[in-house]
Amino acid sequence: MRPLIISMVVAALVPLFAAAAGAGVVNTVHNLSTTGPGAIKATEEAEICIFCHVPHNANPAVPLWNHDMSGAAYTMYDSEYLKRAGYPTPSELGAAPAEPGFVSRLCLSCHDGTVAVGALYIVRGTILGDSIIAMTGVEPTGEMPATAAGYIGTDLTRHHPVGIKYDSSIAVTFGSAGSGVNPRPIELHASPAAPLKVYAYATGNYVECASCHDAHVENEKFLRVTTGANLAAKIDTTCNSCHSKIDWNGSIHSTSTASYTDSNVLDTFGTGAVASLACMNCHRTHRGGGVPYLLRQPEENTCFQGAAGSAAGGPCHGTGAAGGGKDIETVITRTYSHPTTGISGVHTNLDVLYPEGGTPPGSKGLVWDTSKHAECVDCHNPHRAAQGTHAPSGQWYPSLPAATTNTVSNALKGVTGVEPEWPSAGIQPVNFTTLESASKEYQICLKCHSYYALGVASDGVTSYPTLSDPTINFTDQAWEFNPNNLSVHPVVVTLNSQTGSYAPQALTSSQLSPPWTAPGNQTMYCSDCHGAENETTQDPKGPHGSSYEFMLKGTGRYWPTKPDGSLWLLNTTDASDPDLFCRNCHPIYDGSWKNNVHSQQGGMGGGGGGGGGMGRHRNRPCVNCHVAVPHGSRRSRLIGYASDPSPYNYNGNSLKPVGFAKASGPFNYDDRNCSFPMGVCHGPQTPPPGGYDP
Amino acid sequence: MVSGKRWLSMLFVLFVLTAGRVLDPLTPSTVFGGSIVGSRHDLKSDWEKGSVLMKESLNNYGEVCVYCHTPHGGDESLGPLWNRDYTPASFNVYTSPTMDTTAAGIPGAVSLACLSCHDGTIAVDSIINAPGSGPNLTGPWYGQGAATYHFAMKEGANACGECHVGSPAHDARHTYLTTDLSDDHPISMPYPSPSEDPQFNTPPDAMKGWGGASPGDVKLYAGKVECPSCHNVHDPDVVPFLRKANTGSALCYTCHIK
Repeated sequence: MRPLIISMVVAALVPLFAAAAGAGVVNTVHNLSTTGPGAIKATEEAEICIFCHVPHNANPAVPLWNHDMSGAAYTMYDSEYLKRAGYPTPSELGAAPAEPGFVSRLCLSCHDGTVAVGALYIVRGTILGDSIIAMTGVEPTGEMPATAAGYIGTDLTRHHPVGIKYDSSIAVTFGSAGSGVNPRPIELHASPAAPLKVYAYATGNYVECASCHDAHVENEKFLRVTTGANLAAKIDTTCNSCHSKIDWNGSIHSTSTASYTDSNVLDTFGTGAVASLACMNCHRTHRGGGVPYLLRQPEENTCFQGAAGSAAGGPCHGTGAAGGGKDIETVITRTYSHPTTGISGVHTNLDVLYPEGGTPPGSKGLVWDTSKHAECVDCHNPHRAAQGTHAPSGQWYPSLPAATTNTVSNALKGVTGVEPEWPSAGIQPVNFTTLESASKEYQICLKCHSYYALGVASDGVTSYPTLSDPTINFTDQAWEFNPNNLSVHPVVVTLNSQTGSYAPQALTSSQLSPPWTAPGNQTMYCSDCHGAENETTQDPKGPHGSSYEFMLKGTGRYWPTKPDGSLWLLNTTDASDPDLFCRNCHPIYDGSWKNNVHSQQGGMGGGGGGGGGMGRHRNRPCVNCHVAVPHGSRRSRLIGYASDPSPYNYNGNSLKPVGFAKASGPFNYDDRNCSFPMGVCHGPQTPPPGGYDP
Repeated sequence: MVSGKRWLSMLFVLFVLTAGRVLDPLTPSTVFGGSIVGSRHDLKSDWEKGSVLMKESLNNYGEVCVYCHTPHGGDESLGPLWNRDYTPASFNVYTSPTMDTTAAGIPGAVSLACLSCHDGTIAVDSIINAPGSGPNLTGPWYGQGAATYHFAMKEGANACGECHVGSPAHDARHTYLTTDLSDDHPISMPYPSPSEDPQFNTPPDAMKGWGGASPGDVKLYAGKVECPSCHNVHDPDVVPFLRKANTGSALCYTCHIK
């Protein structure tokens, strides 16, 4: 019986506590009578409720409204994300009680600034007509000033949507055309957790101002959620009452121990801890500086400074930021970078769903021609990202590469991607499966660096110039890393799984430097070669920006030319030069040569043997035989043919071979493995039994 | 000593003052202190104060109470000794998606009494039993009266609202409740319990509310909110016939925790 008695006592006490929680509207700025605490209040009117409610002949009738209504036409919140998800967005706030948005229009009858605060209907039995209650703190004509904290205005694009249906069943479809797989839910709870409310209309439940706010409650920002250590906690609870962001719990932005130093943040939220600010680090529910998505600042600036007034006041990702987040702004504004700070207003969430050839009119997708961009959120999901990169701190590369080395790191968690449908070697991949969450790093890169954004590329080469060197054009990385190609860097699959490659598929271990000690059984990131120049020291990892062309990273950062602009040559000096990019992973010469083609450059009249002639390769540019974009090739061992276009063929005229066949081992090459036109190098050869690579 | 002439003049002054106050609509409470007499609920007084047109619009029965009450033959289903010849209409009642409490009910007897004038369905002088003894079938009451017209409290021609819209006579539109009560505070619903909505104060008497025997505070009628919960129909002191002053919205806050 005791539990029953206790519960009865508790039940009896609950209303008492409820009644005691806040003295109500009297002590708030919504007390517009002469006794109100705010700047906006009446000079004579002593009643409180009267500013909104009247017990008879109310207009509108519900909720016994007594304030003149706003007839404003509002500019409503909308976003490409909602459009692509098929989420119904309102075109206007309802003007009649039966229409969604009507409840919000009640609030806006003061807060949109178009109607005098003192414009009431009836006061103590007197119909006011055109006269208004005299107020202080308002515009000369009586309206709420735009400088007031509660001013909303009629542009609702910078405010959390209201008059919008609550529908948790909607999901974004990913997958290949016609076959939805791995949908991304709209990330809403089935219904909002109390004390938040939705408002029922004939067509469903809707979010209104009063979903989050109770105009009567004495609580910060009139939030319905009254429990929490500080404003940040109350807002966090409020947001999470509806929103259910996948993997948010445990993400770095929800757990970081870093703090803001900007005193305004502490004053506003009662805490400066990133983990406590949660959504408020990046978003504002009202008057967001970035439209849409209620971002605090436009696009990347949100990442740079978070909730602080400047980068220096926050532990975020801007130059001079207080400790905590990685300083991305510094590296991404270097000479060679992904175009983040220089391009604005192009990125839209879910742009991954609108590739080349598939963008509806009026929408921006990924089409390079019109929508080239790379915002932070194209490669990172700030709601899911966690701490940890592909390579440990202080290292260029992962410690122990394996078959799964190309799996996304925590920093790339939850990012959309594309997986090509791989055609035969030399054919451009044009069919893709969209991924709600990329599992491999290249799937993120290929959103832009493939047909998906770049469109048709003839022999792998697009018509768009690179940022690093406008004289050469971007190439299609899906075309290059196709597992059906005869040779690639193992970005997509291990070389032992490279179906287009014939034996021996991988190099020998002596042809690789640590940590790449498992040739044939390891994969790599695009960002093992592309990144910032000081990744082992102060630079954050990843291809954000660099002072070096093509963001080549590692000890050596020059390819295919040396720092002086001349081509790298095959000789012991160049092959030992730490500036040589390839040398980062391939010990081309470390006292000995690693294949008998390279070794045919020995000294005058001597040197490594094999084949015909002595030293015939000495001082040959690397790009006489190898493609200058060493991602992948239709021929083995990244060899290119004289017929290949620039930029694979450096300057369009550097490649010499017209036929190549991979030897059975690094030291088994002879003249027949490589054929040339008459008069070039060692001229035409009789192909080995397997023939030359096509 | 006061001379006879002086006595006469004093009596005259007293008479004028008294008569003036009786007829002066601005200061009824100065003399009568919270009495219905001389208030807008005193239809006899309204008639007497009224214009020629007003006198043509309702019967003057020469009594105050008779417009609502009769000691015999009244309709108790509507109110105490109720004298109004009234068949309740069907009402639209208040509903709101923001209400957590029991919605408004069909108006009960206590409120129907008020609505027998304020819904505008019958004339204000439409009574069952006219003054005088006996059946009184010839007297000047509704339908057979001295007045040419018998107007009801509603807008439009041939009704109070023909004049009482601010011009030529004072604006009374806010008192025309009509049968659509959806824009009026809900009535005839049980006072909400804390579990229904914690944002209501708990009355000291669940059946009678705060007022108890006193007319000066909010009353419940058998635990329900009715028109006279807030209004004291007999006392014009607190405009508009409120049970207590609403300064600082004190009347509203008696029930509401907002």
